[in-house]
Amino acid sequence: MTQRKQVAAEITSALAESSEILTPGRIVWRRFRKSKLAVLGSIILLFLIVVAFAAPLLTTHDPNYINMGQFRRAPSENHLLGTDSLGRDVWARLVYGSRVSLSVGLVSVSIILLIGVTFGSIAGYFGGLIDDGLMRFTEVIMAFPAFLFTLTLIAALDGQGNIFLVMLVLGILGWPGVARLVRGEFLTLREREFVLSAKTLGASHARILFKHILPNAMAPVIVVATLSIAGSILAEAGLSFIGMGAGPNTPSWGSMLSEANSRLVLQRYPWLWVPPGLAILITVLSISFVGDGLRDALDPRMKE
Amino acid sequence: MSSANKEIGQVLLNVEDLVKYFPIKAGFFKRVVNHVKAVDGVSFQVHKGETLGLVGESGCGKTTTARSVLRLQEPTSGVVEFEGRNILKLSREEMRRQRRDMQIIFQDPYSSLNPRLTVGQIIGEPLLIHGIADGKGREKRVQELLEVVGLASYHYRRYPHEFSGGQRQRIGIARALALNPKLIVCDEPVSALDVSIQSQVLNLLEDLQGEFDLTYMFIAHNLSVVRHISDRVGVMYLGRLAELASSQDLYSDPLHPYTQILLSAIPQPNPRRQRERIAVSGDVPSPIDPPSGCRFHTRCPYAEPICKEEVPEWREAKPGHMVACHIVK
Repeated sequence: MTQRKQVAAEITSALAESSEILTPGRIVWRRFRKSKLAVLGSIILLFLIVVAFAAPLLTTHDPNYINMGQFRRAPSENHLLGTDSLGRDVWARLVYGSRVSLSVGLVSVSIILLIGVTFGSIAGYFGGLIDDGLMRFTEVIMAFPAFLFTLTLIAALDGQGNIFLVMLVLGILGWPGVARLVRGEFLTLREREFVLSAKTLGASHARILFKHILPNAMAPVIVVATLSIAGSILAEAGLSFIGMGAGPNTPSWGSMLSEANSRLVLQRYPWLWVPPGLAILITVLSISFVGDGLRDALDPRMKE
Repeated sequence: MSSANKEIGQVLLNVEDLVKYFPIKAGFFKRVVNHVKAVDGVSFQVHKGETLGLVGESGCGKTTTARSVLRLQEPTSGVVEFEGRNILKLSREEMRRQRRDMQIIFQDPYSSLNPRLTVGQIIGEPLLIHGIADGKGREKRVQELLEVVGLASYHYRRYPHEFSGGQRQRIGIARALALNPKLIVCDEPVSALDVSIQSQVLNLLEDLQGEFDLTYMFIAHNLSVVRHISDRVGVMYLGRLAELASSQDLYSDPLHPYTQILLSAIPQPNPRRQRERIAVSGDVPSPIDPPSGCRFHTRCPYAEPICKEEVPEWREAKPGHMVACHIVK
């Protein structure tokens, strides 16, 4: 009898040990996989990243090579998507432009995350006067008319055509949303019992902050960060369109679009503006799909 | 009900006149307009090896008392002595070391475990923080603790979401035990569990007390649970202690009208043995502006004029039986 029991217990524990351990990451991935649009978006984004890295392999043309003899030529075997008003190859510029758009998105969002998470964590964790001070400062930044301020800053720093300045300015103006979000998460998590428990164990501020609160606060932050990559790409395109973003020697989708500022081009030379327009549209849409997928996958209220 | 042969030693925890007010701030300049008087002058002692139960309605200050004792919230004033040392005066570092001796088990097993850590990391954390054991040594100790609280060793690498409420509470207990504490504050440790699981966890707590020489401060609103596990019981009402006595005395001969009302409200398992229920009128008054004098006078069926005027003295009405009431002789 006891022997049989022992065997049964051994079998149960062996079964339990062999079954897969569900880490929080694996659960998120399982849920994310369920959204077809999110998976499609990720595949497109991966493809774009490959294109950005492999740009020199995808075209033999120099994206900045000006050849006035090839003025606005229609797509042909030599120029897959034709040439622009300065005779530059549109396909080459499109392929190289992905580098600009993706890096603007990634760099500016890194800055947003760095400032936003730092300020939000400190404000939410310590509270009191620190919180008040930081939040008032955040509100001041939020109250700036962002587009106008961006233009002024770029003009004042004489950074026309400097794409790194665009990244910096988008990052510096974009963080308040993330800071407020992180602060809110911290305010609720701070009172959760596992945080109090860490306190009773004598854990240091750093340990509570980085090990207990931050990892649990990141889910909504990841979603917002993903979506603000799309926002930054659009903002760069807008700035480049009006000539305040990437300079003429930096192939960027926004500056390519700026060719379309005449009716003649819009009507007669669609290869000048349709490819960059589509590229922006597809990139931003894919990012949004991924963001929405992440939102659903990371939502703690959703149970399988 | 608790084992009578348990050895009750000297005072481990001495709480004197503990006060915790939460400021209410309003307006642009965050002026303090009022206070929530969550705990307002509570004194009691916990002896080595005993279980002191603390009961009362929601919002009466039980949890605030517990958290103030552990300095999870800084008390407004008062004295909390642990083994004769006033821990409210300790520096941050001294307090950090002191925490090894005093741990807590929380009410909500779903909120008390960090969802991003494995069970091994959760139970091992106290050992890591206090630099007691690392690597293999830590894993071995955690495995021991898992066994002690009735979990299996393969649970080590699992995450909290894979466990039931009762199992999670066991994980919380193992974490509290990891540092070999002297005092464990149990803040409604079974209130969130199914009734069938409650008794398992209570039995585990009792077994552990014998095995590891633990002292418990046990907070609950379920009077039967408290009676089952406690050697002495304190009854709280609106931030103050109304009565404190051995659980036998308190349940057989309650002195304070509030205690009597509480006890009369315990459901009887036998329907034929109807007990007389003492009705109580009204709601608990606000702790922002508590009644003058005895805080219970607004609802007390025996209230006299003096109850409104004077705060009743916290006195020993019978040997070992403390009460705060003007009516009790």
